[in-house]
Formats: sequence, structure tokens, C-alpha cells
Amino acid sequence: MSPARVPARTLARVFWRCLFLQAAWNRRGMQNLGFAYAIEPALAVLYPEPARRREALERHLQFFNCHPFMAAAIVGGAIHHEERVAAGEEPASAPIRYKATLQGPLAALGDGFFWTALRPFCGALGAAGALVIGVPAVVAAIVLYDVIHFSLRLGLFRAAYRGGDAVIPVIARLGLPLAAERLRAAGVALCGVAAAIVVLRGAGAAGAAAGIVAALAAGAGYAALARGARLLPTAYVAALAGIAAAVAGHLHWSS
Amino acid sequence: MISLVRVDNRLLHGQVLETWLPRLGVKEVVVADDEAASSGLARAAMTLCVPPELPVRIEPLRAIDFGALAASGWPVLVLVRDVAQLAEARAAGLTPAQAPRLNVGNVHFGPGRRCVTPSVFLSEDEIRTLRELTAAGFEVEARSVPTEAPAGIEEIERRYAAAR
Repeated sequence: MSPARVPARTLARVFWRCLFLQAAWNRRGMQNLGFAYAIEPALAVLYPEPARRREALERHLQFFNCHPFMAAAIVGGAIHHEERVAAGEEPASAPIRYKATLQGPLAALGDGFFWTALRPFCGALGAAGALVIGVPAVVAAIVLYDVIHFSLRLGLFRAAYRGGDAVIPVIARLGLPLAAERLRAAGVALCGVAAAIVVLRGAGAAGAAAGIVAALAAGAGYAALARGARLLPTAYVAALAGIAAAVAGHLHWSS
Repeated sequence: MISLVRVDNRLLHGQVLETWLPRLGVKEVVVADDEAASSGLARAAMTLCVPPELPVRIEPLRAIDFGALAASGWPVLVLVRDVAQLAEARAAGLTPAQAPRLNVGNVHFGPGRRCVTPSVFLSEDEIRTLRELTAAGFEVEARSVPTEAPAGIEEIERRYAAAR
């Protein structure tokens, strides 16, 4: 008789393995191998008979792709459903349907909150802070980012394991789209502060010409952000900033 | 007007919200999918992930009035799950005049499917469907995000033939 519940120790192992979700990313199944690897300890507990365990592992090898942080909620919820499948309360399709239904919407939430809001905000915070207090600001920004994303991952994993489908109202209460909007605005403001510091210092250290170059670089960066989609033009912005820095450096050494 | 009809196995996700919506200035998203329409979980999750000002409708394909969408005064993005649903939409009355562009964004690997773009795997049947839609006057392209170079029907067929 298989136990109806996955012990806390095994859940901890699954959560640890969730951190490597993208390690075997591939074009055919995307995160399918990472998902199967993550959930495997729980399946081993729920299905002691080799045939059923193999069957369970195989269904988790189907295509899967989500935001790597938000995916923790799907792994937790999949175990919630697998416990009921093992107990004969739900059909084997229940965990698969849960994964297939939530992977898209949660990916959208994760992209919007983590990739296009929290990460740029922490980056801007580190950049502006570095201009004022130096390297410790960069470390603090990275720690801030990690604390937020790691605690969200852990919280979502637990909420989804306990509640299954009830994780959706939990995520709704987090208000991620609104938080993302505010973080983006705050990040933009921080970039403005950083740009102003650079312009003032440039003008102070190497004359008005360097200040103008720094102001132009900030303007170009703003224009690139304002024009393009949010995900991709960062490479262009980085290239422009690099060129502007080279020009500013040249002006500085020749002045 | 219908700015784009997109095939995506994952329906609504980050690529759609973060790249296509701002690029096309979309003001309404219509998910035309029988399974999603009948799932409370899917409806709740999809409603949750879009910005509050963007309306999302999740309806069975047969319940969609494409003529009304085309006549609306704002850009609409229609999402379907598989290439087969494009043919179904056409059978249900979708015309090239209503929606000139059909985008194949994400079709996962499956038995009989070959790689056409990094995110699109198609079967012979699906390519035949796309060819028929092209012949009917639709402009068919395969790409996941707007910044990717689009592959037209000739390119799709060439890559399918070249793929193993």
C-alpha cells in the first residue's frame, strides 16, 4: 500500500531539484526533463511498484515550459494531484491537465514580473547605488533580488502542494501585474537618477563635453527603451552605452 | 479588426503578452479554445495573467463571431491551440478579409512532426492545411516573436522537406 502523502523531506528534495529545472532544456520538450527530474523523488514515494512509477515518470516527460520561478507552483500542484492519483481519487490525466493549463498563464506572469520588472529594477538599484556607495550596493541589489524570488518560489511551491488548483487565488492576491508596473516605474526613476549622477560627475571631472556625451547616452538609452518592446532591445541599449562610454573615455583622456 | 490569428500550443503566455501585444497595439485578446473555455482553472489563470485594462475572452471556437471581431474598432489578437483549428476557424466563416495574417508561433514536437523553426514542429497534414489557407488568400507565417524573421509557406515547406 503506497502512502497517501509525500513526506516533508521528499518535498524539500523536490524543491531543491526545481532549481535545476532548465539544466536539460531542449527544443523538443523544453523543460520536460527538468520537470521529470524534479518530481521524481515524490513519484518514487507515491508509486513503490516499478511499473506504476515508470508510467508516472513517463507522463511527466511530456512537453513542459514555464517561467523557471513560477514553475515551482506547478511542480507543487502536480504532486498535490499525484497524491490523489496514487490514492485512486483522480484519473492519471489530472496532474497533466494541471501542468498544461497553468504553464502558459504562469509563464506570462513570471515574464512580466521577474524578467521585465523585478530584475531591471534591482539592476537599476544596483547601478544607481554603485555610483553613490560603490560595490556593496551591487551585492545588496543581488541579495534583494534573490531573497524576493526565492521566497516567492518556496511560498508558491508550498501553497500549490497544499491547495492544488487553489494556488490561483493565492497568486491573484500577490497582485504581480500591478507590482510589476510599479517596479518598472521605480526602475525607470532610478535609471534617471543614475543618469543625472553620471552627467553631473562627467561634467565636473572632464568638462561640459563629457557631460553632454553622458546626457546623450542617457537620452539614447531612454529612446531605445521607449521605442521597443520590453524584452529584446536591452542588447542595443547595452551596445549604445558601451559606445558612449568609449567616446566619453576618449574625451576624458584627451581633455 | 483582427490584427493576428496565432497558433500557440500554450495559448496565452509571456511571448504573447510581452512581445506581440505591445507590437500590434492589441486592445482585446480572444482565446478560441474548447478545452480552455470549459476549464475553470484555465479561465481563472488566463484572466489573472493579463493587465487589468486588457479584456480577455475565452470561448469555444464555434462560439466566436469572426465577422464581429473584424468589425470592432480596435486591434484584436485571436489565439488557437493547433493548426487544425485554423482550418476549423475558416470553416466557421473566417475570411482573409477579416484576418489577413495567420501566425504559427509555437507547435510542440510530436509524432510525425518535423522541425520548421526552433519553436514550430509540423506534420505533413498541418503543412497541407497551411498551404490550403495560403491558397484561400491568407498570409501564413511561422515565428514565435515579432523580432524573429518570419518563415512564409514556401520556406516552411522547404524546411520540412530538409528536416529529418
